[in-house]
Amino acid sequence: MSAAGPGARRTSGLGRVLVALYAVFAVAAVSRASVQIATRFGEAPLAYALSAFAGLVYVLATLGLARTGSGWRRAAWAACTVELLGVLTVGTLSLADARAFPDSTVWSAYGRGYGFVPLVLPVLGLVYLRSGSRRSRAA
Amino acid sequence: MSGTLVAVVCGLAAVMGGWAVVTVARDRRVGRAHLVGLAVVELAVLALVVDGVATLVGGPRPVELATSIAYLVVAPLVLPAGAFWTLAERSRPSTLVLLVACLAVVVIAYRALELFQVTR
Repeated sequence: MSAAGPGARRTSGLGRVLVALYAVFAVAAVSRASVQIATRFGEAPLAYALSAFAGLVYVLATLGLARTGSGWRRAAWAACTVELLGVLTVGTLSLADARAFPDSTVWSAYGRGYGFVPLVLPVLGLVYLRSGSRRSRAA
Repeated sequence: MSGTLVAVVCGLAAVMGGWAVVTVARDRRVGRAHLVGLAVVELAVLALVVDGVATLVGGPRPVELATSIAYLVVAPLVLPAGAFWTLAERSRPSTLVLLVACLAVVVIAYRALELFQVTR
């Protein structure tokens, strides 16, 4: 744990719970994508490539939230934003054009297969990051 | 894979997760008793993994073989990782990490059972 300097606050409190949730999804999404791509990429290349992309975004968000420093904060901002856009876009497309997504990804149907956690997670992440940046500005 | 064993794992993990919530509600910190509790759940998880490996060796094998193996590999790592992350900062909300880990174990055990039921 590092000394809490400006811009280098350690991840504390609810942020740690968020990191744990993100870590679970990072592992789930990356493993799922690895299996899909290794065993049957040809069946649904778009869906599986998206799975892999989602997995990488989760890994980046986990690291960005867990590590300290402004670079990691920016990475977390970017990852959570991309994730929110991703789950909304893929969620909508998967419902509108089911044929493009024959096999589901974490983001299909707004993450229904995962209890809609993929939809809630980026919102929580962005709220947490926002409160953090407000706190550091006030300090 | 034994459905009874999956039920035991899910039950123990649910109790442990509930305990974490009670701990947060009463504003207590994670202590030795919690670690003993986690160790008990972990033992059940390990029993499930052994059972799963035995099924993979003895057959019938699940259709989603790669995914099933991934579940067996990841399952025993979840609670130690959660315990590590909780203990790294003994704050009130940090205890909720244990709840996340326990819920993950419940989901993993249940999904593993589903995976192992679909065989060739």
